[in-house]
Amino acid sequence: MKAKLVIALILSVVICKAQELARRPLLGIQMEQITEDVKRIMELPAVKGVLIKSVIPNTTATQAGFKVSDILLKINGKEVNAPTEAGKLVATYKGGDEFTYEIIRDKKTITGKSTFKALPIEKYTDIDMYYTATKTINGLQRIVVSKPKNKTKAPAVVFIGGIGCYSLDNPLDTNKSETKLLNALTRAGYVCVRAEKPGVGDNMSCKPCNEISFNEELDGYINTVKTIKKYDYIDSTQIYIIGHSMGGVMAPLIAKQSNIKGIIAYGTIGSNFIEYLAKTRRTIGETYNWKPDEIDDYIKDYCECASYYFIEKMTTAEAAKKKEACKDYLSIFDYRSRAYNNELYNLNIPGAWKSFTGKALLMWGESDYISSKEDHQIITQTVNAYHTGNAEFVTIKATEHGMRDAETFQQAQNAPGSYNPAVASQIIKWLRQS
Amino acid sequence: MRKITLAVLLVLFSQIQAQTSKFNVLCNNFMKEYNELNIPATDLDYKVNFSNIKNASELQKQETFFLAFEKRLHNFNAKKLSSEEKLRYKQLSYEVAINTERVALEKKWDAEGRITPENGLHQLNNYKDWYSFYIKHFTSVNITPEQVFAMGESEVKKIQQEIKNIETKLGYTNDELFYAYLHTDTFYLKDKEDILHAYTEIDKTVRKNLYKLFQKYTVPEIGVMEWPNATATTPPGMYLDKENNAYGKDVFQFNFYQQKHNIRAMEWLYMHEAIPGHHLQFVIRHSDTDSSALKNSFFYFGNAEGWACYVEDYGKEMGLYQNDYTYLGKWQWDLVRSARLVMEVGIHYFGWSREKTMQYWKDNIKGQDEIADREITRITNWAGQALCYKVGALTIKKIVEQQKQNGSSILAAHQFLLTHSDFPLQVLADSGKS
Repeated sequence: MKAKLVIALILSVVICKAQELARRPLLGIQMEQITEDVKRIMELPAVKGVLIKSVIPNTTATQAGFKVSDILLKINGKEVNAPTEAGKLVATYKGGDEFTYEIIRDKKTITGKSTFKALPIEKYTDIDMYYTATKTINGLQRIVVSKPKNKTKAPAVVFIGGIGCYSLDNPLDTNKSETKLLNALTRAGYVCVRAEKPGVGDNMSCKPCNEISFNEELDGYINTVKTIKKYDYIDSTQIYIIGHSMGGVMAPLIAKQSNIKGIIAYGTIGSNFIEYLAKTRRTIGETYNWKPDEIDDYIKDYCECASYYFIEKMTTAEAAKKKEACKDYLSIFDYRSRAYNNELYNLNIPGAWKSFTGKALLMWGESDYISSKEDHQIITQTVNAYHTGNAEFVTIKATEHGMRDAETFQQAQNAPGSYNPAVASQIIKWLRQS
Repeated sequence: MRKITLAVLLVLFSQIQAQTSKFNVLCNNFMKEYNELNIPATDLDYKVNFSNIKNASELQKQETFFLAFEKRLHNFNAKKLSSEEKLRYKQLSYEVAINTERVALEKKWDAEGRITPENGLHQLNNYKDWYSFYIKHFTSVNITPEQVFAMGESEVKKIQQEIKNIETKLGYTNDELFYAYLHTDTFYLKDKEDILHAYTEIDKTVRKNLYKLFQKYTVPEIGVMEWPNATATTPPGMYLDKENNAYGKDVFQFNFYQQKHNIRAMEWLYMHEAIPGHHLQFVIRHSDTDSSALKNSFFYFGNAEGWACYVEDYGKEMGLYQNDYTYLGKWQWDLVRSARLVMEVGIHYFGWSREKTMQYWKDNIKGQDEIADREITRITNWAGQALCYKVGALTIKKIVEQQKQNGSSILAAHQFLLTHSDFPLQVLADSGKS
C-alpha cells in the first residue's frame, strides 16, 4: 500500500512538472527578410520588419488578423527585422500570453493586441502521444513520447539528436526523418521517446542551448532516461538509445549512468574529435569535387586552425588573425559554447564505448560525407574487443547523414530526397534479434 | 421568302443558344463534381505524387465519375457549339481521358501494395505505362517516350552545331580554351545595380520590338529582384505573378547566388520569364473575357513552359542576341534542355544508371559540369517535368506553322496561343489540323 502511495506521489510529481511546462506559441506565418529589393518593389519606407509570405489557418496569425503581404514590424514593442529574430522572440512566450503588434498594411501602420495560440501536438489514429517533462540542471526539459495504441507495456527507444540546437518536437512537419523513423518504430511495437535538448522547443532552461556545455546537455539526457523508466507503459528493463550523429557520442555516456539494453548509433563519431575532423574534411572536399592536392591543403589548414582553437584556446577571431582561413573553418564551433567544444575535445570516445556491456548497432549511410565509415568500424571493433559479438556494423545504401535518400555525396550536399525507410527497417530487424 | 429565312435563322439561333447553355451546364457540373473529388494537385516530385495517391474507395469514386462523364460527353451534341466551345469540349474530353488513364494506373499501384520506386519510374513493373502517362501529363502532348528520345538526340546534335559555329566565328579552334574563357569573370555581373540596370535596358528593348511578332498589348511593369536565399541548386530565374507572391506585384527573380549573375543568360532568361514569356502569357490569360467554368481551372506545364521556351527563339526580332556571346548563352541553355529529353527518357524508360546518365552529360554538354549533378537529380525526381520546355516549344512551333498555313499571320498565330494558354497543347494542335 505504501509502495503504491510512493509510486502515486512520484507519478503526480512527474505529471505536475509536465503541466508546468507550457506549450510554446505558434505564430503561424511564413516570413521573408525585407531587403532593398523588397523595399523598392513594395514601396516600403525602410528596410525594417519581415514580409508575411503565407498565413497558416487556425494559428496566432489568423487570430490576430495577419494577412499575406503585411509587414510585421514589432511584437510587444520589440522590432523584428529577420525571420529568425521573430522566431526567437516568439519562443520567449507561451501559448495563452497576450501580445501587441505593429504591422504595415497597404502602406499604413496598424497596431493591435492579440493572444498567442499554443503549438498543436502531433496526432495519429494508431499512436498515443504524451508530452511530459523532466527536471534537470538545465531547467525543465520536454520529453515527447509516442506509444503504440494497442500496447499497455513495451520496450522503449530513446532518441538523442545531433550537435545542432534544434527541436525534435515539430508537429507541423511530420515528414522529418526523426519523426518518420520514430513513428515507424512505434508502429513496430516500441515506445519512442524524443529527448529534447535544453533551451529548445517548449523547454524552460536556465541558458539557451548554444550556451550550455556538453556535460550539461548529457545530464538532461541522463535525467530523461531516469524519468521515462518510471512510466508504467515502459518496460524499464528494455531501454534502447538511438544516438544520431553527436547523439551517438552521448549514448555510451548515458549508458554509464543507466541500465541500457542496446545502443543504435547512426552517422556518429568513433575517434577523437580532431581525427574525426580531419577524416571528414576529406569527404567534404570530395563532395565539392576538389582536387586531391586541394583537399590535402584543406585538411592541413583545418587541423592547424583546430589546434589554435583546442590546444592554444584561442577564439575564432584570434585564430583568424594567425590564419585568415580559420575564420571560416572554425565558424562551426561558434554554434556551441566553448565549454561544450572543450569537453567534446577531451573525450576518449572509444573509451566511452569500452565499458558498454549491452548490444550495439553501428549504422552509416553510404552517402554520409559528414561522418566517416571508419569511425563506425572503430566503435564496432572497440565494443567487440571487450565484449565479443556485442556490436554489429551495417551500411545503408544511398542514404545521407540526415537519413534521407542520396545516391552520392554530391547529391547529399545538393539535393537530398526524402527520409529513407530502410533505416527503420534495419533498426527494427536488429531490435527484434537483440 | 425573306420572312421564312429569318424564321429559320431564328430557330437555328435559338437551337445554338440552347446548346450553348447546355454546354455551360455540362462544364459547370464537371468542375463542381471534379472539385468534390479532391484530387491532389500535381507535385513536381513523382514520389510525392505517389504518396498522395488516394485509397481504393476514393479511386473507385474517381473512376465512376470519369467513366460516367465520358458517356455524358459522348451523348452530347457538340456540332452546334461555337468554335471556342468546341475547344473547351475537346479539353473536357482530354481531361476525362487522361484522368481515366491515371486512375487505372493508381488503382493497380494501390492493389499491388503501394510501393514507391526510389530512383525513377523504371523500377516499377509497369514503368512503360507510368512514364507514358507522366510524359502526357506534363507536356499535354500525345508523344511516346521513343519519340521524345529521338527529338532530344536530334536537338542536341543541332544545337551542338550552332554552338560550334559561334565558337568558330569567335576564332576559337581549341574547346578547352574556349570553355575556360567562358568561365572567366568577364561573363559575370557582380554588382546588383548593374544587373537591375541591364534588365531595365533589356525590358525597354523588348517592349520597343514587341509589335513585330505580337499584337499591341498593354503589358504591366514587372518588378525585377534577386531570388531570396538562392542556393547552389537554384535555377537561373523565376517568374511569380502577383496572385502567387506576397509583393503585390508581378515579379521576375534572378539567381544572384555567390553574388554573381551570368551575363550570357540574361537575354534569353528575361524573354522566358518576363516578356514575351511567362509575364505576357499570364497577363493575356487573365485579361480575356472567356466565362467558361474551365477557364484557368487546369494548368498545363507544356503550354506554359513551352511558350516561354518557344519565344526565346525570337531574341533577334526583339532586338536582343546582338552579341555572339548572348546568342551563345541561349544555345548553351537550350542544349541542357534538349539533353534532358534524352537523359530523362534514359532514366525512367530505358533504366539508365546515374553513371550512364552522367557519362551522357559529359559526352554532350561541354563547360557546364558544375550543374550536372543537380540536373540529373532533378530529372530523376521530377519525372516528366523537364520535358515540358522542349516538347512544348516544338509543339507550339508546329501549331504556329499550321496556323500560318491556314492563312493566319504570325501575329494572329501568337494571339491564338496567348489566348489559349490554359488549354492542353494537343487540343490546340488538333484544332489546327481540322
